[in-house]
Amino acid sequence: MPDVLALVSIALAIVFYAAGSIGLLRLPDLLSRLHALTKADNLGLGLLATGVALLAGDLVIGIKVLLVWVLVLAASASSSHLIARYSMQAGNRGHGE
Amino acid sequence: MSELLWVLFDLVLAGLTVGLAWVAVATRELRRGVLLFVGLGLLLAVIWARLRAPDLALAEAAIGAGIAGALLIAALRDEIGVSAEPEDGYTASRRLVDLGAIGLLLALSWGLLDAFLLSDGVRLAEGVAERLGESGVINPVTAVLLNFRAYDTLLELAVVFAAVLGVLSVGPARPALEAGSLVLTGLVRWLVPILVVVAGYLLWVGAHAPGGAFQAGAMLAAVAVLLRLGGVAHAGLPGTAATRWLLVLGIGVFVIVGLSVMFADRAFLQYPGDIAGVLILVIEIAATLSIATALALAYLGGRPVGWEADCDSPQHRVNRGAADRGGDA
Amino acid sequence: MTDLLVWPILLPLLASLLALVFPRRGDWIGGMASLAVLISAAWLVHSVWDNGVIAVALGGWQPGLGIALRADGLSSVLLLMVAIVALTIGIYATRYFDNAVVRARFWPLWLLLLAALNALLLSGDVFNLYVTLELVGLTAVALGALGGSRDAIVAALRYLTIGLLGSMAFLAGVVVLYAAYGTLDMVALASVVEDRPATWVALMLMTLGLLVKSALFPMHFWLPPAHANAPAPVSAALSALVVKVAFYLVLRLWLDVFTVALHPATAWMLGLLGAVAVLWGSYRALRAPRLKLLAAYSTVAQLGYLFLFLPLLAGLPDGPAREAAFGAVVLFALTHGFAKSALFLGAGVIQQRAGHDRIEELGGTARALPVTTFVLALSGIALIGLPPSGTFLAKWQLLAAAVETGQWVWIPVVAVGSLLAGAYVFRVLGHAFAPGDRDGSALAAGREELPALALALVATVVLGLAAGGLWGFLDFAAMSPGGAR
Repeated sequence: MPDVLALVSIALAIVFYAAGSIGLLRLPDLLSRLHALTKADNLGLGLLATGVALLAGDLVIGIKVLLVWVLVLAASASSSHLIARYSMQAGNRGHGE
Repeated sequence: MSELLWVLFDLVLAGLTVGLAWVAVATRELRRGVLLFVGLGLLLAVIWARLRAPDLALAEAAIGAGIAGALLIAALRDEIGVSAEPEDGYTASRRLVDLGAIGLLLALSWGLLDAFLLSDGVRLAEGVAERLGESGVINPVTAVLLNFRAYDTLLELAVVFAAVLGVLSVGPARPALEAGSLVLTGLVRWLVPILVVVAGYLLWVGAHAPGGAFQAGAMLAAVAVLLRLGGVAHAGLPGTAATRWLLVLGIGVFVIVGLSVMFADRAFLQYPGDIAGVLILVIEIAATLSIATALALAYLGGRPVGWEADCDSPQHRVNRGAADRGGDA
Repeated sequence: MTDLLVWPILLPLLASLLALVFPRRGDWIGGMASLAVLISAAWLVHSVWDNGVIAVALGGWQPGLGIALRADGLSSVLLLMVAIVALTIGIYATRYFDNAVVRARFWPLWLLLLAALNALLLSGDVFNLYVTLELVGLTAVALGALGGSRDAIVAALRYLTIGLLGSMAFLAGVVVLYAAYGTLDMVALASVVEDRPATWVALMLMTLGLLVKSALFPMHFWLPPAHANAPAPVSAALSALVVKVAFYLVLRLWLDVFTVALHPATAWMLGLLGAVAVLWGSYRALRAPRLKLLAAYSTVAQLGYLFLFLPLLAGLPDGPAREAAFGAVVLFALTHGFAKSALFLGAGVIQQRAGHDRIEELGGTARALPVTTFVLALSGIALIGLPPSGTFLAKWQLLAAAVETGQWVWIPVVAVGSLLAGAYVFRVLGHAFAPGDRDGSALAAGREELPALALALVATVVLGLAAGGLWGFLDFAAMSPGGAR
């Protein structure tokens, strides 16, 4: 049962990553691309982490994987914020670049 | 079935790596090249992981992609204002270099192919496994780096030392960045303690699992990079005198440990079996601090403020002046 | 007794650390360490003289799993040469760098370079050799950039790039060797290498890397700017020692490790490149506008002579003739080491006194700096190969070997090269003896002139007279039976 859950979770993660990647390539301007990217980082990695932790079936490894996810969350949120701020300062005011 | 999938995965990985390397070299825009190079470092880390060399994967990710990337990006910032117009296009000399590289690649492939036909592929791994019990550690990579071939590692630390001496002799450090936004400083404040703990963990775990001084040192250097980005001018380095001591600590402890076993009628670096593990840990702690200091200084890009303030005392200057006059007479 | 081998490496390494931590004591630390290295090197030569090859397995692990250090006749005499030249240059450097801050930057790097050179000469392991090559290269680059001028830094960066390419090629060769034979120890490799593609490729890659580092034509282009723009003591070390150890490795690999895979054709190719280097380097030296540039191009030419010996050594069967040729190449390398460092130090004295080193404007130098002019003349004698210098004996043996092997083609090269060397040396001396507007000071020697004088005297007189002992020593303490015997 945990294996099935893990596989479902990883499959969902792949969907989110794919969506994020397509968004990064297809969306028109910086802010919306960032928006697409955070989906992959947050949800995609979260689901992937859940899947891997379930597959490992070990509490310590699970906590480590969770920690990785939390760290990436913090880093990606902050760097997205910084990139967005920098682009605002550089004169980009959002939609319709 | 899963075998085939792995082969497919490896092929994709290899193709991506070669492609990325090519694009990183061929791109005419320096900034793009640097970013692609960082990506290449991450791919290489995955390859090492696939080759079941997690030590190398860690080192590649931390140093090859992480610290090297930070150094390159800092260097890019220096370039702003300098005319960054690349030489136009595909010149004859560039073509010559490409041809040379392809020739070397073919020769290397030929040699390696022949080598693999000749050899059974075990090489020194067997010897390492056989003597691992006497090395004082369980992780074979650490056993090779700090016991069997410790002398190589000592000289590699000297290479790092030489590089940082070069950085220090060329010019002053880059001016500090002004304190960043609240989000950045907040993140830095939050990450720094975690990174220090992780560095300590990597150092400790190196005795029996992937990790060790180079990875831990890179992790500590990442702390310095973060602090610097967060607006801390000294990047966490202590005062000049202490920084100098930290810089030489790794090699110093290594050599002193190596020499002190000679009093017990042993060869240089021949640790006594029962305390080998402890000695290795002592060396690794010192090496971690030195590597971190060296990488942090490299990231500063030159001499920190006040680095040479104590090189020439007034009294010393007077003495030398007298000696000079004596020499001319 | 085997402990002897670690001291020439560890003493300067530790001193380098101390010189960084106590920047004001640099002169003292550096002088003591250089002296200690000289003593340990002399001691090493002495015990190699008594016992033959000395080896130590570091860490107590058998070579292969661990790393061995080895000293034979060849490496120990070069080690002694490095120690003497380094001590003398170090003494000169305390006068040359009159700014204590620059001296504080100089000493740690300088001592690290000394440690690296000794580590390279004593290493018995091909991967370890790669590490020492990197260490030599990095410290040499950093020292070259010490001058701080834009030209110096540009030249140093080019030197760095080229040096890294050279070490990469060497490393690739090491990889192939390890993949094929499963060991990195040179003695072990010598007994297992076979005459097959893996060996050829490894030999080619390693040699290529070393040729770049030893600046053999046409890979010499980086050397003149790097050596001419470095501070004089550094130029002296770069030309006399750093390039020389790369050639030492070529010799070591070719004669001791890859003996079975050595084909006369490859040796001929290197000999031909050496011949072009002799002619081209000498010609460019003749045309050089500045004294240090002349000295740098002269290094390109003199290294060419060293490579001329390779086809001769490959063509001679084991026996007295081969021993004579092998001794001659070592003697040539030693003499050049002393003579070229003397020339660069002399050029440094002139540059500091006159404010420039333009050859056309050297007039009056002979009156103002008689000792330094004498140094230029003495080192010139060694560069041309006039008796009683060591080069004279070496060239004599070179010609004898060329006749012996029927490789007549090298004879005109040596003749023309020597004539060109004579021309560029006398061009400098001619300008130096011309009357100039500088006032002639008293005949006393400045203290900064003496180190160069000592080196020049060793090159011309001591090596010329003591050369006989060298042959016996090298023959007695040769590394491997297939090698230089």
